[in-house]
Amino acid sequence: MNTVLPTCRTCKAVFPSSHYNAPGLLPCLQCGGKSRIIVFPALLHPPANATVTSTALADGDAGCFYHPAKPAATVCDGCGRFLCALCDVELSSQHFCPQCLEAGRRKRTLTRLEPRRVLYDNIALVLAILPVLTCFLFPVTSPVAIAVAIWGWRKPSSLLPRTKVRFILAIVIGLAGLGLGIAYLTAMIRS
Amino acid sequence: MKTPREYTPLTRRAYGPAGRYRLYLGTDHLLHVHEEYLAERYQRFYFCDIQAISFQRTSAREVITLLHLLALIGLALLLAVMLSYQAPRAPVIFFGSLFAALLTSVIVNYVRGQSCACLLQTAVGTEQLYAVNRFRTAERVVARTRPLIEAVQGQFNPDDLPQLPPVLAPTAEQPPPVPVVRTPKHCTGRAHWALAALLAVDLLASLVDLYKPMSGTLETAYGLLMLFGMLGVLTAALTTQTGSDLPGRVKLLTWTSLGFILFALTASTLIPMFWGDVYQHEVKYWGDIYSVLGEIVLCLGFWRGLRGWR
Repeated sequence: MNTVLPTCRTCKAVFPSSHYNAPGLLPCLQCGGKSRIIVFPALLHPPANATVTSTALADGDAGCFYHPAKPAATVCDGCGRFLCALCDVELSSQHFCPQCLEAGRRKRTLTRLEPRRVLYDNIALVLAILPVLTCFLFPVTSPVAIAVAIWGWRKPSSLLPRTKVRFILAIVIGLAGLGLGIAYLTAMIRS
Repeated sequence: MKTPREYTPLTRRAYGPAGRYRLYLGTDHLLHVHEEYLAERYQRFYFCDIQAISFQRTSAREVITLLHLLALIGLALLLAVMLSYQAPRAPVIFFGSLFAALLTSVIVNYVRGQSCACLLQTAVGTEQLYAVNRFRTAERVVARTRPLIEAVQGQFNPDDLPQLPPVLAPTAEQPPPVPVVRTPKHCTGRAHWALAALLAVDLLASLVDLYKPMSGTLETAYGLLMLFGMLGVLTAALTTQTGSDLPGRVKLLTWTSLGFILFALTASTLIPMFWGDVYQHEVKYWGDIYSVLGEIVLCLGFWRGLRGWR
């Protein structure tokens, strides 16, 4: 793998090595933009591509579950199957087989594989509050807001610490909106 | 017993190009969270993969301050006119609050320190951490994360630099390759000259309007033509100046012109809604004064910045 040296954000010029880990701000030699660069050993020694050796299975050795002809290198932390170096996927110092990894991604048990999470509490709150602008939408959006709040209550929320206060607010505002909507409709029918 | 937090916030929420961003510190990685309000997107940077962190000075603070100051000058003029003509209390309170909010924003923006862009490089690519947009924050983030990264990777040894991979390491038969340096594209500044010319035309028109006001239809037609013309030229100028070698001062002036036009547009829409019928002439007079003053500054700035530029 070729080393890609840090470049200036403005002019894309490569920073000279004298700028690396310097304490203060230094100007770019081309555009003069001031910057500070902190480099780490991974810049010069990027993780090598996994080279999988295909040694033959010797007598008495445990074989890989997926490739019985290859010796087992580790055990899957998900299912306990023996894995060869080819099948072993390391994720935050745990070892998984491709099947467990895929299942973990699908069932969302491996949170470190998740690139995105839907915030149902915010959706419920938006549905409960937005119709304030157009009050005649209350009878429609309020039940939906309450339903989303109840449905999303147990769904996995943000990866970061988050309380249930938005759900509670959405339910309270939704119930109030529903009451108002029913009262408004009743008054309309009577008149 | 309280369970320990998996993530510790490293920065406050910062606004970026597509929402809010925040940086968190995990056990073995940095988590860059993009808040889209109805969902969150996560980018994880493991300590073992981080190759470099760089932060570079940007002019965001100056641009924000300048735009705010232009708006503040406009609002101050407006409030002065309103107070001298004993305008109704409600709009005075509205614009007064707006003035106070903008002033607070300017002070906060200044106190937060120099703005910067933080780039994090891994073997896969370079990502901008929008959550880190001030030098002070960047220094704090580096102070917290650098020991953790070095605990995983070890210390960077400058002596390793000559032992770069074959692409950069010189050998006896192969001369040392010249690092690829992408030069910024050249911008002739024609769109900027056009913008300056349009501002100058509007400056003359505003001066004429001060002494001999235009008729309603002519004014509307002229205003619409000038607005669309300026927005078109501004779009061209902003597009061509991105990543170009144009002086930073000219780039800043183009953004300032955008703020100036947008403020003038907002004010000319909002003010007649409140008391356009009562103080029509006064509003028009002070609007022209705002245009003349702003356009003199912008035209002179463009002339100084683009003089001799080809």
